Amino acid sequence: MDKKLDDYKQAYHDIEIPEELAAVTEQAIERGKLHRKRAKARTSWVKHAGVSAAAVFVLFTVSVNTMPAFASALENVPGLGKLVKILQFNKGSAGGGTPQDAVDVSFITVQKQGDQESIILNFTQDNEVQQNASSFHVSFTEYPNSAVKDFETLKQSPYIEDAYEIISLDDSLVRFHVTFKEAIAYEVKEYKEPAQVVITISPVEVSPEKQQPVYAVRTASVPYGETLGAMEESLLVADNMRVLKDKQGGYFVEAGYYRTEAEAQEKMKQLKHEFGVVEPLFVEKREYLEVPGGIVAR
Amino acid sequence: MNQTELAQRAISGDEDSFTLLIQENREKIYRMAFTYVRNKEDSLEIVQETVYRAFISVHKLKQPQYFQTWLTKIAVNCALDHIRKAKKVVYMDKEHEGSYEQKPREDVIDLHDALGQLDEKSRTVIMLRYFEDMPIKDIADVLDIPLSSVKSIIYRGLEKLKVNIGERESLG
Repeated sequence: MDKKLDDYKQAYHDIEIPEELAAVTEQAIERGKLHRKRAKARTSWVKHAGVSAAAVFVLFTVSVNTMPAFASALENVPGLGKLVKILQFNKGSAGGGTPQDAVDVSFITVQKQGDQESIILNFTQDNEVQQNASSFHVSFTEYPNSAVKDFETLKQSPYIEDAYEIISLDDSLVRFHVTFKEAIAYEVKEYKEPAQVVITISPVEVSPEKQQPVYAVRTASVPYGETLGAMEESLLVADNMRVLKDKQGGYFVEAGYYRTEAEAQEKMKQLKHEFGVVEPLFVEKREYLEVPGGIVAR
Repeated sequence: MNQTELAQRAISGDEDSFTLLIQENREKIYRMAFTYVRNKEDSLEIVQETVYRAFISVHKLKQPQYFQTWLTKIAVNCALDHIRKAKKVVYMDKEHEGSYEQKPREDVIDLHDALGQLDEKSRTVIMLRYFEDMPIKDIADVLDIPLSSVKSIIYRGLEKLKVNIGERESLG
């Protein structure tokens, strides 16, 4: 072969291989695996849809993470920074971020794209925009459909019934609650530089057989304040505990909700006798999407 | 196990086989990428995109013996896409190119200067034919052009590089 060409070939093979190469290829494969998993989850969701009522909750979660509408929406995510991760919801609950001191959710914005809406939470620390989201937790529950997160801007959204802050006796915690007017599909993404959490919601159809009433085990309503915080602490033993606002603006703690009244009564007994909850508890029947009523302790 | 067997397993969904294949080919992909963009960051980005695209579409590959050609095709396309995107964003002047890195060796500079005279297609063809020793038939597959075009690109490319074509090979 020509000498010059030989030299070029030698030079080509002398191109220095950086140390990072192995890590970069592994990352790419991980990205590919994630893609495969999502594609797989999508097909299995179609296969098992509507199999049993007991599995509905989990299926809902799977469908949310893999909703085809969201796959196309991924390209134009409204976050400004770098995507850290897309939260995977397990039983409607997921968290992310890194624990940090003295942080606050500084402002919340709502962005609309077609019938989808994105709720963007921005984090600050000492009045500076934070680069990494502080530790956060989002949980989605039903009856009424809600996400524990926050406020005024949120109430402008056509999908949102109400948004309010929940008192926390622990200073390091900022909590919000959002009640949705209708059934929604959701996706939550965490960004860094700057820190943002983007919750994308869009309406979904819910079949009538899934819109059965439930029986909730709950406390009486109290005004916003420390009593509420104390009530919550006494009910920490309950698995699906959450703080909610009633129709009249009072707050209460819900220990959980059940398909039948008997189940709810049973759970209430268990809380009183096995876990020694002294707070007066009530069983309340609630329709799908109905905002809880006020119960006054006697 | 040889590459074709590994490729067969990768096609049927075996992730470990795919990983092995990539380990064997990643340096080659990097070098090819570097030939186009001449800096580490961009080259690594191209490698990552190539491997990702390959991973998510390997099940569509019909003949395992073409894995190499197929992977090369993806790498070349990723590199060209990358250059196109970069052109839209910012034009890098000559002094700037590759300046983040420690000075490349002199012979590598010569190589880049030489290849710099060629257009993208000729560069690709020369690189695959003479540095990667790829058969002309495979190059035609990578670029989706007829065999005869590959030959004439080689001919013109070498002429530009002022390489003595005389005894080297028959392009017949």
